[in-house]
Amino acid sequence: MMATVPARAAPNDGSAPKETAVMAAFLYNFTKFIDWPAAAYGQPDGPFTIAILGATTLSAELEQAVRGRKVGGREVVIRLCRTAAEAAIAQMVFVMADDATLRELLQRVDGRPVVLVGESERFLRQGGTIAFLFEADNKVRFAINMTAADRAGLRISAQLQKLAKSILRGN
Amino acid sequence: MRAFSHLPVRQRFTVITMIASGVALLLAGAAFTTYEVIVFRDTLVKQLGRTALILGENSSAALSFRDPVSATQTLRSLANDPHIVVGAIYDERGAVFATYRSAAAPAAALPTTLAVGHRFGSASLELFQVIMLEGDRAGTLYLRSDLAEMEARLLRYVLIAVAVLILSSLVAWLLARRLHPMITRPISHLSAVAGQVALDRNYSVRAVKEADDEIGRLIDGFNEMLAQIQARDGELAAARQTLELRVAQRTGELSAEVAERRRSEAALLESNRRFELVARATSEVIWDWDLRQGTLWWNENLKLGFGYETAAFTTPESWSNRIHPDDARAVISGIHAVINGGGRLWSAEYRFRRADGTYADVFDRGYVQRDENGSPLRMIGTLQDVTQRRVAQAELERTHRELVDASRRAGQAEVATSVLHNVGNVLNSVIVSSTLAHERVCAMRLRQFSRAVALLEENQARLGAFFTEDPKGRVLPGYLRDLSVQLEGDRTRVLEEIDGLRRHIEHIKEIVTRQQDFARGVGVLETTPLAGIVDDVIAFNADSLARHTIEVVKRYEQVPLFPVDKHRVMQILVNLVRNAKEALKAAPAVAHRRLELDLARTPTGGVRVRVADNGVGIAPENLTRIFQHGFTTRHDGHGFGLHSGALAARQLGGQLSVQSDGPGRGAVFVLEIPVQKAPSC
Repeated sequence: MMATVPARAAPNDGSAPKETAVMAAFLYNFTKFIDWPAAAYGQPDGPFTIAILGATTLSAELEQAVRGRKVGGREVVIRLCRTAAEAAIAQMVFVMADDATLRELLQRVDGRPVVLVGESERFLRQGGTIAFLFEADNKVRFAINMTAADRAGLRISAQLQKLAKSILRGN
Repeated sequence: MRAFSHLPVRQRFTVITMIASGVALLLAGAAFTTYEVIVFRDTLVKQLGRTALILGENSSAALSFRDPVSATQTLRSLANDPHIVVGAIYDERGAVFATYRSAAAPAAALPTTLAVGHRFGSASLELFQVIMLEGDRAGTLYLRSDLAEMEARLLRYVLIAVAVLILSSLVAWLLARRLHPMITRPISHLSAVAGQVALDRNYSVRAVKEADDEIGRLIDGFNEMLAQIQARDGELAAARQTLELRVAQRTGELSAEVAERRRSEAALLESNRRFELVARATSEVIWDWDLRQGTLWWNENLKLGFGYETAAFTTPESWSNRIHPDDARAVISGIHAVINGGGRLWSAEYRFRRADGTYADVFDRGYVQRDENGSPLRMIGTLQDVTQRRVAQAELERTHRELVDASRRAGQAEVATSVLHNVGNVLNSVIVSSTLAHERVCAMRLRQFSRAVALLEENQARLGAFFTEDPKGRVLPGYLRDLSVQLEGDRTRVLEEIDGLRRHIEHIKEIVTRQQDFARGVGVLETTPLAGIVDDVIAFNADSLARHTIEVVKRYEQVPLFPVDKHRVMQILVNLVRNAKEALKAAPAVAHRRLELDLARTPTGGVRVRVADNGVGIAPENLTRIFQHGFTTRHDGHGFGLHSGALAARQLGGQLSVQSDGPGRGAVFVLEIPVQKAPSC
């Protein structure tokens, strides 16, 4: 059911600024089509935190994308994190980390409503929620792991599901 | 419109009904259609908006995640609505993101500019709607719909409206046909009746009223008008008949008036002519002063007598300035006193300057005419040049004086006759009085007295027995008493006669004395009551008046006491009384002979003695001659009494006049004497 996306040479360093900007915009746009339960926030009026784990290049783009904007009426905070523990308290985490860090993160957020966004179908199979897919014509697409989303107690809108290139489900 | 005004009322009614219903329907149809169009457009906008909202909602995710394929798929759902021609989605930067074109218009163009909202084009409705996502603008949706449905609906409405119009017009026409007689029949009827009246001149027909509406009232009014015309026709005919009569009558009256006016004009003309002739005949200057206008008119004699042009003599000053300065003030104040004092007559003698500068003696007199309030209107008068007359008068007076002297000398005989006549008159009374005294003395009962004396002498020896025993002697004292009373009465009467005799003789003496006075020309004035003189005159003639059974009636008014020539008055009155007595004697048929003597004041302040009898009277032809010398109607008269009476009256300053209604109707002589204020000596 999963379509294999040809891997790209150097997707990690985020060299192409245009893709970085698109990803930043997508990250913010995802918040519009996903419902977090109230338990997702430490305080009732706490901010909506997007953690960036391991990647530095995206943060500036993301800062720009969310400037002056809110998510569900909350302030948006961008946090650059080095450790899984740091990132686990956010509501959404963009993960560009090694497998060990990912496993720790997954353990830490297991069962909690945290959206984990990564950059590969492998990330999705490891337990991530949404993964960016890069197509040949430089178009950025995404796939969704509905099982992970369900486990985390997140509701993802049908529109978003409809736009996803693929949806991982089952097991 | 002109053709319409020539239509009969019936057709006009139908046309009006049709037009009214047609216009009402058209307006209603237009209103409904407009309303429908508005509502439909609104509906269309809302519908398109709803479609756009759903499409926007459904394409927001595709926009967020840059998936035009998905957006295009979403737009493809527009094919369900055949009227939407074009649909397009623009991203947040305004670039075309996805498009849709209907199968009917595959080449339809997209708009080049984005303007949010809707607008109607000639055959389309365009709508731009912003696609919002969580408060962010995700992009813009554009939809274009054609208006075919609206046009179809409009067409349907128009068709329905036309159908309704035709149907309702038909109904209206039928209704009008059925209903118009209600209105047009009375009007047509009225019109027909009016036409008949106009044609036949028959005002007795009447229109029939059907309902009590305006037409009913119009018919009432029309009928009322006909009734009035009919009545007026009748009056006119009657008036025409009487008019001819009246014209004839009036013509007669007018011709009579004209004739009358002509007569009065002729009379006026004649009167004017007479006036002018008189004015010309007399040398007196006639003047006419209009007191209100202040203008003065003179006749032509002013020019003849005084040399002035009348045209220059039109103001009162033209007259007053020519009065001699010494006379002017008195004359002018005198005339104004008469005008302003309410008087009527004015006269004055003064000197008036002629045109040549000389002064004429004039006698001017005028008459003031006043209105009913007494205000002066005009004054008319005559101015007489008496210069010649003055001269003549002076001459006359001188001649008169000479004549008087001459006549006094030459009138010795007349004087003598007068004296003799008057003395004779008195002598008659003297004879009568002395005869009466003689008769009375003769009639005295002296013989009876003598017989009584003889009787006493016979019985001288036995007077006592005679008076007590003899029957004659017993009545003698009473007899003697009666006798002495009688004798006393006789003596009194004889003494009265003797007294009268004395007065007659005194009168004779007076006559003689007066004759001497007359010769000297002066009478003796005495302040004696006139009533006493009249009483004396009656007393002189008392016996003869009593003899002829003449009743004497005296009426004395209170008259002023003034000096008068007593004997002259007495002489006149004695003559008058004697004449009256003779007149009464000569009228045996008169049953009740009366002599009236009145004493009264005259209006001019003098005194008047009136001697009236109901005797034989005087023939009218003798009235004028009665005072002439030698005139008498009596056989034994010498015609001097009344002549000398008249002369004496004139010498007293008065006059003697006579009135009589003719023979058998009595006569009245009146002596008027002016009151002389102060004795002249």
